[in-house]
Amino acid sequence: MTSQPATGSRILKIFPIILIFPAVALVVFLVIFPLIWALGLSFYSYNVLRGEPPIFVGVENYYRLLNSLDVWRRFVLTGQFVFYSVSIEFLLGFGLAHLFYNQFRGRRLAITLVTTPLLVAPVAVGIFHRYLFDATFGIYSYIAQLLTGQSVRILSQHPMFAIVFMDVWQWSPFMMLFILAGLEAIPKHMLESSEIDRLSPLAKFRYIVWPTIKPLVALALLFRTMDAFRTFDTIFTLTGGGPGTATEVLSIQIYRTAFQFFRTGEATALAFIFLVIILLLTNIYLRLARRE
Amino acid sequence: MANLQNNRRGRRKILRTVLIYFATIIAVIFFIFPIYWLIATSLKTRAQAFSTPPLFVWEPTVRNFIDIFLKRQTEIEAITGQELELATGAETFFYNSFIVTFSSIAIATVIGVLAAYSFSRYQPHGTNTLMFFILSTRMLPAIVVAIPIYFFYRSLGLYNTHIGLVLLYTMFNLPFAVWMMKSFFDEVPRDIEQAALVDGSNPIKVFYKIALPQVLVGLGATIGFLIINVWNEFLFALLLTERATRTVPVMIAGTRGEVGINWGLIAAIETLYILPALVLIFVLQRFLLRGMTFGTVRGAK
Amino acid sequence: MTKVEIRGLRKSYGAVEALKGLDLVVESGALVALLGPTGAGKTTTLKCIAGVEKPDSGDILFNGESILGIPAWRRNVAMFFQTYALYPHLSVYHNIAYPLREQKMSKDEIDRVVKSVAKKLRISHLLDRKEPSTLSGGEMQRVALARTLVRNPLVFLLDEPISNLDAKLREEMRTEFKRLHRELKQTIIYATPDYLEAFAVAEKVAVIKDGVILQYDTPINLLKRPKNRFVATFIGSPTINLLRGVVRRGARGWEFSTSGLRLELVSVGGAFSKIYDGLEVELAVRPHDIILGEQQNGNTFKAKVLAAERLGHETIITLSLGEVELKTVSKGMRLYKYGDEVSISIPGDRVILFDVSNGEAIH
Repeated sequence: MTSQPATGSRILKIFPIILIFPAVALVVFLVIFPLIWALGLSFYSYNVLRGEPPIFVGVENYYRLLNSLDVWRRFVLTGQFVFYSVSIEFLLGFGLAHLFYNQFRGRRLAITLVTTPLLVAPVAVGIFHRYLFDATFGIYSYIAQLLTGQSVRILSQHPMFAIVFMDVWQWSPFMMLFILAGLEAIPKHMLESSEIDRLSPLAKFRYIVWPTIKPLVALALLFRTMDAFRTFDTIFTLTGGGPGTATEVLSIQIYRTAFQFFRTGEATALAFIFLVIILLLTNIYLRLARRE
Repeated sequence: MANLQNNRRGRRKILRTVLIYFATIIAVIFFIFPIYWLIATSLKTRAQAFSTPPLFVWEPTVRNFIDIFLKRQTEIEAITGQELELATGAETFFYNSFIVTFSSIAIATVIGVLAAYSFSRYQPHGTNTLMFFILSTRMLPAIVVAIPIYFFYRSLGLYNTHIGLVLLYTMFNLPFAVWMMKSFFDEVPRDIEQAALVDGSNPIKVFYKIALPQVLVGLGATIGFLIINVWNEFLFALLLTERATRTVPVMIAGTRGEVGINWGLIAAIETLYILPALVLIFVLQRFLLRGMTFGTVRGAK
Repeated sequence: MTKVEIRGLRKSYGAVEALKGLDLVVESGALVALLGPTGAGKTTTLKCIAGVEKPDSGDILFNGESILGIPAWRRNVAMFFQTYALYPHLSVYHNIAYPLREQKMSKDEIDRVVKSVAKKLRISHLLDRKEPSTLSGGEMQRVALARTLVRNPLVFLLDEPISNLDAKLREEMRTEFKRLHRELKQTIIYATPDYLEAFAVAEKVAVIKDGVILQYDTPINLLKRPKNRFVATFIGSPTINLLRGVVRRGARGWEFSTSGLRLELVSVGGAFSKIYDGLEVELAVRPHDIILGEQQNGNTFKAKVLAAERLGHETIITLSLGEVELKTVSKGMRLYKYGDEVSISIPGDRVILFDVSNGEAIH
């Protein structure tokens, strides 16, 4: 039932729309317009350094990119990063959510402390983990050495581990929050009746817990997956894509192509492929989620 | 017999509690440790930070924090015998970060709240499509838009300006602010607003006397969220600024290339920078926890 | 003292038509009850008068002038909401004081009025409560009522003001309202689904169903002369008895016949002009009008007792008459039990006929 205010406030109905209009217009200007422009540019070969005007090359940029083994390797790399990160975050978040579902003294404080990584600037995270992972002075390397008995050069030998570790550290609390919210949304009486019926923990989970938290889990996974794909700050500052191109995920590759090698046309083409991938994945994801 | 059973149950409960506390402590240590280490490192001298194995006990010093803003010119000292302290100019970076964050959040919040209220109450045509559109902008990888905007800004003269950054951040945060606040306004019962109308308040008064107080929690959460987004933003700050308007994240990232860096100093910069965020969460913790998941859940339906 | 007129009010919510051409005239200073089942359109009507809903067509007039152009906050109408609609972020005191502050009353004046209304409704001890949500249902209702009563508006609109209170409190409040009306001398429109409440409180009652007013009359007339079937069945407890049958011309005048029964009809004021032989009707007779024992008017039947509910001051007896079931009410405690045979008599002048096709009365 939508309630319409009385006649006198019709002016006020229009007023906010007038307000939104410039806002919407600017969003269009800063989002839609650049996108179209970038799309256009992707059909050109443009190197800022060379000082020549852009040359129209049609789909050549795309053709070259999609046929390049290098580029596909980066896709896979990015996919690997996302997969490892999100799955570990999910498991950790799941466990933590269940842990914090229990009521105990200091719970609120613990949750607050655990969610602090979410607030730290990713740039700071990246830079500081360089110190933490430093082969000589880093405390993580030190701990690894204590555990494995040999000196470990994390950044050079296991770069993927490093960036996944950072992502997991920063974003597991995010998953935890969502799942915890879902757990707390379970109606108390359902839990009580499951106690009375003496359901096994497995059955309890399957029939009561999972259906309630499923939408939140799906949403959290969606958000986190999309965000993981776009990760830039932390990886850029920790490894810069290296060593070599070992951690050059798509977003970093696009950045490099555009601002290090100045192959702008190619960069925008790659950026668009990136965009398409994300849209496709989101679509698939939503469709899967809706079917359930 | 009953006593024995109670003992067993009691013992199980104690065991369970112990496990919970144990797991909690491990979790807290895992997530807090890097931050603790960061603050600890910021209190170490260069030499202390470079010790192997890492120092757990040391004599703390606040010199690093001072060094962020003042650089000791020990070479000059050798000549003139004086210890000069020159400003590094780092305060500009902090100032820039602060200005840009404050301005863009203020604008985005004001416009966003008003817009969200009108979308929630009056539901003009196309509200739902707009909401969906807003959600989809979140999916956009920043890098895709960054390249064209870089060129735009250079040609429009917005490069290396406060206004340029503020404009950008405002526009990127506005959709999200509208989206979140609309879902909070949707939660306010219409009845209460109708009662206020009948009691003699015109719609504007109804807005700020009745609707707004109801969504203060959501507003706090939204603002907190936005602040974190802008304060920590890196990519656009990197591309669109030079020294004059540079924000702290770019400054931090700039330390990457240096060899033999003073980790203590860097840690101090980072500590200083994340401090507002940490303070924020302790102040807003109740709101943030509810708001972060609450708002997004509602909107997804 | 305002005369309220509603003409041809129509309002739809999307595909649902809530009001289908509603007409009502409330005289100045009158207390009129808007009686109807849930979903009849009571709340919608009140909200249109208050101005928080805009009607699609029709007009509403205060003292002869249309108020549709006036926005809600300037109409000077006080409304009690069915959902209470208390302001959650204000204390009880400020909830009640809110309309007065909008009128820019002085602080002392506000204090005086709020305290006096609170005293009348016996919620003075609650005034300092910071969160209205911590109040019990009955307390919330009284606070909302207080907020309505502090004002001096042109019209009072009350949407089910006492429906959620316990029976005792409801009884008290009913008398309170009558007294209030006498004191205030204001025009009050009182919506309720409970006919007893409507009858106790109001001088005239408008029965509303499906967005139209079916009958607007005094309680007695509604009881004795319902204009249609719905009004007859909605009002009265136990529910009026209904028998389906046919009107025939009999030896001594008009007769009503149904399976195994024949009733002589006695005309009350020329109602017979509308009937003809073979007309299908429903005959309605109030349980109170069925008399136990033999009478001389000829409509005496033998019936069997099916059940007897003894309520102390009266007994409701369910009877079977051939294939038909009837209820009758008898004073005092009657000791009938299942299977007893009794004689009952139905006075021919106390029955009401309803045309089966449209439910309209033809008595």
